[in-house]
Amino acid sequence: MKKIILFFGLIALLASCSDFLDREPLDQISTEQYWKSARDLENYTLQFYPNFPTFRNVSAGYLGTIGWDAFRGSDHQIFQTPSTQLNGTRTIVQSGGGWNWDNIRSVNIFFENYRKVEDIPVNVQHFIGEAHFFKAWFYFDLVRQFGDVPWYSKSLQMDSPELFNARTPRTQVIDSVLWHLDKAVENLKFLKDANGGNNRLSKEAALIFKSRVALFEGTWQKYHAGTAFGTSGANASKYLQAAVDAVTELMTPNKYKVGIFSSGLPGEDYNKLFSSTNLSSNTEVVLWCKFDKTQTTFSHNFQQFITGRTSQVSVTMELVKNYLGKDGNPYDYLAVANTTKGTAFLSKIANDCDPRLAQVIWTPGQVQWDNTAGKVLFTKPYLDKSGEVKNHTGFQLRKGADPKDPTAGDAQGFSTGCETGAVIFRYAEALLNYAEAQAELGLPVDYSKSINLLRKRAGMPDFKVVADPTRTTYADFGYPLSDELQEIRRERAVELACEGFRFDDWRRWRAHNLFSGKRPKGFPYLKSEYAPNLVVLTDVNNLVDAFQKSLANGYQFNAARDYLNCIPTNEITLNPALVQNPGW
Amino acid sequence: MKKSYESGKSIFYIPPKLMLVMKLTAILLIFFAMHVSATVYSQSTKLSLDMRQSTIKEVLQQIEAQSEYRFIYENEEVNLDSKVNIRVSNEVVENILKLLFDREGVSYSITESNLILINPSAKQMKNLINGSSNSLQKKTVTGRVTDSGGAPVPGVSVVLKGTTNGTITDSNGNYSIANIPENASLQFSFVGMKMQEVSVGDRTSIDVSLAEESIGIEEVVAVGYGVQKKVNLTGSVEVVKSEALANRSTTTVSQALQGKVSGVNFSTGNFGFEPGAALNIVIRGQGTPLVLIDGVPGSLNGLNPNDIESMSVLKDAAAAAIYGAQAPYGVVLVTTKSGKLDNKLNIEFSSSVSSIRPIRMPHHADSYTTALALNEACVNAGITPIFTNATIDRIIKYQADPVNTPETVPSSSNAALWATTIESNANYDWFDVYYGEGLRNQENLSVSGGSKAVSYYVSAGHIYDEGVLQVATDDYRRYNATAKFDANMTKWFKFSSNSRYYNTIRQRPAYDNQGDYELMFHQVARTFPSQYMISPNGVYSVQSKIPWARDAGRETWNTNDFVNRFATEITPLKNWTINADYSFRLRHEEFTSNNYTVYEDKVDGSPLISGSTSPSHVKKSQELFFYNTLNAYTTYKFDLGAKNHFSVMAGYQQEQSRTSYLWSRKNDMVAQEVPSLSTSTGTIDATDNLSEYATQGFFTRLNYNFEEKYLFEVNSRYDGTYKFAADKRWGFFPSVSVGWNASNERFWENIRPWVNLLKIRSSWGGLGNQLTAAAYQDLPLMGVGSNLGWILNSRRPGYTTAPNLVNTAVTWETAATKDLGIDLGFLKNRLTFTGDIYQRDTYNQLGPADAVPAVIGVASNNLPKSNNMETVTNGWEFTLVWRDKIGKDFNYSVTAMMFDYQTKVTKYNNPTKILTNPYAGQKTGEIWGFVSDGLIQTQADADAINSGSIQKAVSGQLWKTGDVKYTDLTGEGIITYGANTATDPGDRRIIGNSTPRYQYGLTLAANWKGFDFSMFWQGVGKRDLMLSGNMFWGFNSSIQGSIFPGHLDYYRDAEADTYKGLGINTDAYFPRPYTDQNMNLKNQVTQTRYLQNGAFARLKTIQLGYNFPEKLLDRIKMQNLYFYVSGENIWTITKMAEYLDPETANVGSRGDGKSYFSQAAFTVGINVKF
Repeated sequence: MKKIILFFGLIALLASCSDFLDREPLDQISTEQYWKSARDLENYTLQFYPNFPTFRNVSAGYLGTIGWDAFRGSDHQIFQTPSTQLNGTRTIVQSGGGWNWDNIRSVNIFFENYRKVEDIPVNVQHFIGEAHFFKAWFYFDLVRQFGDVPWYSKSLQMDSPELFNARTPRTQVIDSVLWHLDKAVENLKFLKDANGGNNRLSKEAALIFKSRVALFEGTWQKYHAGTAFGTSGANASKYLQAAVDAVTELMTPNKYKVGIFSSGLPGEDYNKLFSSTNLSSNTEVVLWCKFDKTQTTFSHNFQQFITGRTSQVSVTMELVKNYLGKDGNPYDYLAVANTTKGTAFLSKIANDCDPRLAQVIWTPGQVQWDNTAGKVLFTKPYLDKSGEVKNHTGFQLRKGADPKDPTAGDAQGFSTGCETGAVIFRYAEALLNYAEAQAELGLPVDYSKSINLLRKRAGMPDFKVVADPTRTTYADFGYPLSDELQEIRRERAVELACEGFRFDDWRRWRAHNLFSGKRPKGFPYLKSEYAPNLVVLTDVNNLVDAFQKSLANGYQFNAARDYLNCIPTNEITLNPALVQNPGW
Repeated sequence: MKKSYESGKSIFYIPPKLMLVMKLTAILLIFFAMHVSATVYSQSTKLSLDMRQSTIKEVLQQIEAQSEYRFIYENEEVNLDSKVNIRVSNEVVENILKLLFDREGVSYSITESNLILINPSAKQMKNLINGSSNSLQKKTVTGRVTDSGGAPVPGVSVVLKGTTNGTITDSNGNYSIANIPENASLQFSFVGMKMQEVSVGDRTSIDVSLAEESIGIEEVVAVGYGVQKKVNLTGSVEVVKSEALANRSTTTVSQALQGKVSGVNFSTGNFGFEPGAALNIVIRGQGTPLVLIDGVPGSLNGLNPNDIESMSVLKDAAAAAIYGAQAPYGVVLVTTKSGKLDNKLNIEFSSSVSSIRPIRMPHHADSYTTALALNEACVNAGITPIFTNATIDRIIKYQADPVNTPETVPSSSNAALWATTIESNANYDWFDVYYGEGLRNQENLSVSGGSKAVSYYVSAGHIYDEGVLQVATDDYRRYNATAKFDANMTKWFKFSSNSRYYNTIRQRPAYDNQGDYELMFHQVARTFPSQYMISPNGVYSVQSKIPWARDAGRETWNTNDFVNRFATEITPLKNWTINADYSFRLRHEEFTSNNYTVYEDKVDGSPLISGSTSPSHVKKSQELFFYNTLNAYTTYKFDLGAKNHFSVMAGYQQEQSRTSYLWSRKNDMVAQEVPSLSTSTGTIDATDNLSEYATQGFFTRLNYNFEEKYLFEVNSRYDGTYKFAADKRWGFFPSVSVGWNASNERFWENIRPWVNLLKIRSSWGGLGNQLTAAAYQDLPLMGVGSNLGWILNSRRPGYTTAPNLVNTAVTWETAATKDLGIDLGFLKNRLTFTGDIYQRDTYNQLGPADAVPAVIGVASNNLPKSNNMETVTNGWEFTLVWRDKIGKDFNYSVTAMMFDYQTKVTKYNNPTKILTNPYAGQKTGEIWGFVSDGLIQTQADADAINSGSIQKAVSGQLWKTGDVKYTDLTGEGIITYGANTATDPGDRRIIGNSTPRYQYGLTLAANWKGFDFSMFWQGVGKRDLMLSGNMFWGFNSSIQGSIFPGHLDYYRDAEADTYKGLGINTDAYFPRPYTDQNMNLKNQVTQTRYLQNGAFARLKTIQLGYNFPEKLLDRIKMQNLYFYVSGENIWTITKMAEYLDPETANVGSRGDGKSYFSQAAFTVGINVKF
């Protein structure tokens, strides 16, 4: 009996161990154990870097920002199916649709906690700067899509009343974004000191971004003024001036590590910015994303798709027309197309025009790939191919191609081992932002310190204001614009072609007249160069007109609606204080 | 590994490997026959009796009922009518007899053949015990057979034991049998009666009274923390005996169990019936049941089917309640075989070998047909045909003369390389190339027995499944070992130790960097028949994917699982037992994946790397799982008066486990022959995973029965789990059940000849569920990631992310089950019926949080869950058995089982009833779709649809003839999705349900003399499947299609020519195909026209066996020799197309049907017992 009592005693003892069920996570950190050191701050802000658009995270058929405009919608690039935004066929969404606040919450959590870290300012400053930068980055992204958005400076809980806040006017949001960018510039390191070089955010990057945001908002408010998309009482000049100031600061001699890349080869240098696997020592590139297939296959397929395939992204005649002749004078592409057709046309414009043109599109005789898969020269556009190899206009995208890259070419099957770097910020943009903002303010532009640097690298004569008689066929913005601004916008279209800027540019310029009711066109087609049974649709000028069916009456853009995205209807149902965007 | 790619081998073809295994088996048999000589002796059984004021005769009858003992009353003078009181628990028969007869002065003896002689005469004792006689005299025995009521029983078979000499009783129950030696025994058997064996002795007249057999009712059933007589069960418990699982060629217990238990659904994982496939088991429509093997949680699929004695499936809450937190979804209790006390060495050996091959596997159309069809689809899509005229000319030439025509030519775009896919000209059915015949074999050996105090059961098993993949190793192997010892240390103290071990080795292709095994199924389907396999240089093409499957490496899982259970039983007082057991389980899984770089050839013969297999790398992982559990419980049985029987139990349980997982990868092997982390030079990548688990519980049970007529049981359980916050972690879960054995009532006497059993059971129980809840939902935890999607200083750094939102109120989910059951026996149990209807209401299920504006910044599926969801499951199930006999030798039985259930969501946080989420009122499996109105037949119809934008919501593409026309249900003039809610679904309605309904199993068994035959059908009565992807539709985007002959019945209105098209077919099943998936999607939306009828009936097993006669076996000292042949999955009845298997058509992680096919097996096997 004693044994039995002992036995039960033992059981009772076991059962009384109340902490038997108290288990802490073994491989997870609670918030109380975090926010102790500068290292914690660094690890936290690192999470935001992959939000920069690269080959891996933008919807552009493996082409990254190089093909982005085709997917988002632009008059300069076209995908196999036309952009629903340009064509006015977007439908209202119930949820999603870019209304994403995860990063805003994450960055707000940083600001709620970073003061808990006990360390000297110099050790934590850079990471605070990064957090400021990213808060600006994420909010700017929301404003670009939706206009007014609620501003939050703290993270929300399930029962926070702020969940039901109304939208904050966009100018107020942009003012806060610019304030955060000022704090970012203040706290971030100079590029020369950045741990990670130009793979890391720096004062330089923040200044370029500031000029981008300010120019965007300044021109948006200027050109949308008086429409449903403008903000009443907005001071466009304030933003334009901020853009000028940011770049002027960058231009301060010997203070920042910025420049324009050139090795003296005008036929190649421009393309090299986008075809290189290593941009660490490129002074023009202020921020880029490096790839390395040995780092858990951190790579992509860009070279395969820019050389042997197309991802169905094609350049339009509307972009090509922006390129001046080599002499710096306007070039009448339509006149040339009347006499010179097919591949001869491509060869001719490659020879006659701004050398940047033949670095953006494939022209006959260029080496497409020259590696273990053999050597192949470009002969004619892939109008007769199918699927992801097909080209739709005759202008086949080349920007960023490196024939020597081991993954270039289409012969090796699907390959993911491409390491071409992705440019996020380059100094050229800042110079173009400066020129545009200064000109918009009606102030004199110092071209020698800005656009002429780009012209020089491209092997083109200095910038000059010219009147282009063919302008109405590709640059009719639908409102009067000075010749100087016309030429600055042309230079921007050429220098930043196929980098994903055009989508924002036509929106902030309220420039739907560029494409509304029109169809994107291609090169002058020469039937004898293709198989007899190939059907290629052409227009009266014999230009490739591939979208006759899907855009029978041209793009059906709805100017009263399509400049902004809709707020998802579920969100309005949940929070009636949210007012839907115009036209939706 | 080199195999023939021939197909179409007959099922009766015996491959050389099978012949080898058969030879080995024969050699083993001879070995055992020569070296082992042992006989089985009487069973030693422990009995429990509780009888008051009963006659000795009644007590002896009770002993007979509970055991195999038979009493022979030699001396008529013994007074068997004197009344006694007897109460014993788990006693051996000697002790009981001692209690009974010591005072009465009656002598007895127990023979080795389980006969107990009361006051035996010396002569008979001698004969019986020696089992032999000098007498050679033969005589005739006559007699009369009656039932327990004294009525004559006609048709009883009377056989001289060990011979085929026998007869049957006439209409008066009389028999006469000649040529009986003096020491013989007669066996009396009749369906529905207990077989009786009577020693003839020197008698010439033997009258026999046969007792009724109550099949399945008298038996004892394993229940939670104990056993119970089936007659006293009030919960819903179904028992599967070892025979139901024996001799199956399936590799895992779950596969063998399919269709055997009513109310239990089985489904495959994403890889279908891959070698060693473990099926998912769901009892009554929800969750995964707890599997307890001899009381310890374990893996059903690591178990050797031959070690199983029986399985109890506890289906309702009352039956499973005692397991509390562990068992919200029912319990499968596996009892393994044990040795028996006082039993000599017993050796059993079994072996089988099966030839397997895939069934209902699709085949590619030939390359020319494929090219014509795809070119037509290109024209439909408005693009240039992808097969050029030159390629088609080569395809035609190759088909005309495959021997002298190379499979490919240099590529037109790069003459240094071979043309592939649409430019090469071979003609392969890649399914036939990849899949073919395989082998399975298994061998088992067990040794059991026991001394006076210790019994043992030791076994070893091996199973190997080669699989049906021909081009690479893709197999499964398992070794099992068991050692079980039970010891009676003292009269009041028992101890047992039970060890189980298994080792499984699963090997499969590692494939390439873009995906592993699952990608292979996808690639086989989409490789065009024109793709060349072997280049003119004699090198395999990468695009055949054979180098990826065969040479690019292998993944291996090597799992070792060891369980040991130590248990004690203390009996301090009569009827009071205390049990305690401690078990631990140690499971170690080692995963190795060696990924090699492979090459094909260029035209000049130089190697060309397959980019997706570079860099070569090694991946390894190790998982160590340590689990231990402690159970302690005590049971006390007592009676109040003679009729009120009580049993109470109380206990405690705790369990805890720790899992430690380590994963690593390193690139660039130096030498592929020595794949390891140490011999690789690339960067190393590693991660780990550590977790714990702990629960605690207290439980009680009270059983009461009144004369085995009125039954009552109450369970309660108080459970705690580590998963919830301290104030939310404990829950109380009670259950109650009652039963009424109406046929035990006095008034039943007159009904009994027709209906001999009627029992009504009813139960209600609440069970707590914490299994599906994630731990630590009350703690904000930082996310930690490695390999940021960004390179900094030449490496991808680690990083952290925002903590989750928390809900500190998360607690137990509760399932309340009501069950009403009935057990019936008719015509002396020739016909039995068990049926249950039930309803399970699940409350407080963890459902999605209330919708909050997205500005909260946490994706809606990451918002903290809360206990806000309710579902209700309604179902029924029944089992019907008919058992009878024709003539004296032919026995047969029919077992039919059927069940059905449906689950409905009654509460879910989806106020607008958006169809993409569950909503209140939704039935699980519901399919919403359009109602098709045939294919558009005229251009005028197509024009009207386009100009009126009638079907624009389905697709903005241009509608053509041959596309599907949808019915405008709302009458708005256009087809819409409405608001995508249940209240506004547009022109969609519920067109079907994917839940398998009316599942059934049908077993037919018969035996005649030594032969036995059985057939087992399994099926689903109703099921709808909407299949997507190229396995069903054939056409996809141009390079993703897979054209099977069944896909060719597609709409076409253009004439064929040499280079495209298959001729006009406007009355087609499939719509107009395109090589542009956006266009195909016009026609591939969920709709009535392409909804598949997933009902099927499948002949799962058919078996013919032969038991060699004992006479023959005696000479070679063998007890039993059984030989059988069987077929598995050899016939399927279904309305699905021939290239779709009803069990796997909707399975696959890369799309429907892209999984391992079901297989047919042809098996020969042998079982031997010494």
